[in-house]
Amino acid sequence: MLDLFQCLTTTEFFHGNFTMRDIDRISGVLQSGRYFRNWPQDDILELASLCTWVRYEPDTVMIRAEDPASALFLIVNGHVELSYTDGDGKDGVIDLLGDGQLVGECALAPEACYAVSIKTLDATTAIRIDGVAFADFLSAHFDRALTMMSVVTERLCQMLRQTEELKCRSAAQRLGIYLLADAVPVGDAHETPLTMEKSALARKIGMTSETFSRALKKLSEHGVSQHSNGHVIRISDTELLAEWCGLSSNETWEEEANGFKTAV
Amino acid sequence: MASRPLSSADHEVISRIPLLSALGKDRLNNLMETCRVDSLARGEFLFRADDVAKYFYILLSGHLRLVKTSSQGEETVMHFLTEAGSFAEAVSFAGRTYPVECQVVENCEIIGIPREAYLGILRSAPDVVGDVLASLLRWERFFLEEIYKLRHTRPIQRIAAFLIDFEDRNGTLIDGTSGNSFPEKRQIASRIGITPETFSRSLRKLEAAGAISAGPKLQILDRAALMELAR
Repeated sequence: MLDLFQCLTTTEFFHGNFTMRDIDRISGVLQSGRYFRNWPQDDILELASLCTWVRYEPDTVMIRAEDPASALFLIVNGHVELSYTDGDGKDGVIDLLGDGQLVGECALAPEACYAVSIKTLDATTAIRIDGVAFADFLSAHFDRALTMMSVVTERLCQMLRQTEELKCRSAAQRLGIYLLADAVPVGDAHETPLTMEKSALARKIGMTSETFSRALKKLSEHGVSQHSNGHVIRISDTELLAEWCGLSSNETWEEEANGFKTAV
Repeated sequence: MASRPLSSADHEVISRIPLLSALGKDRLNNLMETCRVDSLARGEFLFRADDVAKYFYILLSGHLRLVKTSSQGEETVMHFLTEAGSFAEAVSFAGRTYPVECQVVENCEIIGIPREAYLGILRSAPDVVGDVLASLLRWERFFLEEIYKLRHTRPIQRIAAFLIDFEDRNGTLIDGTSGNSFPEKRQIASRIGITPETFSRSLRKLEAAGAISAGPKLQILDRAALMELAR
């Protein structure tokens, strides 16, 4: 998706970052994503006309909690970190999101403020959707408004599952399930390639780097080993690991593991 | 389950719920003409997980718990509902199934709002869609805080924060004289994601600090100390 961005030619500047308009290309990206894929072409084009490209350098704050919510962002390429600030001003990371994820839905509510801060972890390209204009569009297109309600509902259900997993399972079990969801058969075992730094994965699953290391050590007692300098995790027996992680039956653990991965 | 027509006091409660007040007085009255107040007794279920969410609900009085049951049959308390307000609206609008079970903890009065009737009225008032989304997003705030606490706070902080928050939402002091009480200890432990053993250890620490009395019924003795421990 970054190539798509790089090939764009028309430019304007927005909030000090490099941005550009390109309705056709934006509508193509919107239509290929999961949120808007079932929208009629006319509605997609109208939505695209409310959008701009934005590009952020690593470690840039895209959204600051409690600032007025002025826009939604569809992450096209890159990773961002969501952090929550409690009533005493302490904050902590609660999620990592990547390509295809929508953030800042509260911009659709009248006079709302952002609930979380969002910071880029690497160079990130996103589509910025103007909140007020999108809310006006939804007021005129009730079926599309229902779609956005479903988006919010799906997000809430994911958060419910994430809450349940955090409450019910140990760190090692959560890591085990995450690894099971991505495991592919290799010979007589399964392997899971780690596509992000261990520290980032630890934050994503909701644990510190130290707890992550302890969890991996615990999992080694259940047939999990590290290879290729820790970039590949081998699972000798997925069924046994699934059972230890508290997944229900042979038939459904793969589905449960995928559900867990989606939740985190 | 007994039911009765809505009283003027019920209408007063409803008029303070953003999801409904956004419709405007006439549309809201039309919607409420089709509704009744249902009384549920302790232990009854309002809905079960995986039931199709044909209704969302307004809690008028009483106390409910939302429970998630794992495939192994283990229960996790996800939330206690103790204040008047709406719930289950997000899954209902999306036409999904309830993700949790809803059980009565203390006798309740509840109004069930049919999804189809509400969306039918909303279709004729699209200018209030933003208010409806705002109402759904307040649950996002709830879950953000939940996830933050589970990831970043210690068990003793979570217990202290829960007790303060529960008493605040209850509206009266829970000091053994008001007749109100905190939920059972094992329910609180489940609600805030702590094992019973850790919960007992943390309660002893809170008691040693003079913030609470741990048994047989929980009581807050020193609210300021408890608030300090919640930070």
